[in-house]
Amino acid sequence: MAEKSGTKPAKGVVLPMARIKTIMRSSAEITNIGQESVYLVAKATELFIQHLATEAFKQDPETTDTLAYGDLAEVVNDADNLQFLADVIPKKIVVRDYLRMVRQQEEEKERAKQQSQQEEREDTDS
Amino acid sequence: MAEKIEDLNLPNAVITRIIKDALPEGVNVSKEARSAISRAASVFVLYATSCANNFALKGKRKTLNGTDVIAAVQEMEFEQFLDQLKDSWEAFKKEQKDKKDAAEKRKKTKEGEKAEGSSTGQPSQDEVNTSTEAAGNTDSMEQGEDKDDDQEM
Repeated sequence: MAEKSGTKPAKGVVLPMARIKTIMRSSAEITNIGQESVYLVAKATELFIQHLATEAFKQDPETTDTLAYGDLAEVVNDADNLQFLADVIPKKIVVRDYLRMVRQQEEEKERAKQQSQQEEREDTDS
Repeated sequence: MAEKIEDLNLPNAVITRIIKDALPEGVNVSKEARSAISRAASVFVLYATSCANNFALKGKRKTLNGTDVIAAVQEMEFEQFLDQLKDSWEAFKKEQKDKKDAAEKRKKTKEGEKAEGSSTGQPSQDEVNTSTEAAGNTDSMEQGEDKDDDQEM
């Protein structure tokens, strides 16, 4: 895989620069975008896609024939520099686990409430 | 400008090719994984743009330039991209410069032709010769020779 990217010319970029520019411009704060910055963002995005794919692929050494969503979510969850993707590629959970989490939270709230009530009672007693 | 939300997506075929090239041959990429990577790439572009813009603001510049993007990539903790990015940047700058030079050369030869055309209807042999000598590249040499032929006819 390393050879493949090596044979590509250094300047070549596969992602369409016009589209990259559109996405860049959709950010409200941006005024002017130099051509070289569009090029560099396109190139960086390419490197980023390669990086994300290879890291996710390495994540699960047992399955060497598929790249699944779960692998990506795992990498995003683990790597510091991929934290910005936490909302874009969230970890999936099954409904059963979700309900258990909700129940746990409610129980904790309940316990906290009881505790505070108890403390109040103690306060009034003393 | 982006009018539809799809305009903010990157083309699927290109994304797929980049992923395929990065992974060993024969690896399947699930549809879900592919669309997730595509979304991630769009967000990466926005994140990088926003970071780069901060650097431009710091430098009191209104236009994003290459150094801003390099600084942004560094800030985003993707240092491993920097070497390749800088190499590509050099290549890009060289290409732009070559294009500019070529365009200027073309403009010059065009102007030369114009000057020739505006002079007397039938240029003397001497004039044609000087114009061929002045233009160094082979393209205009050929043009000069063509004119020569015309005259002889």
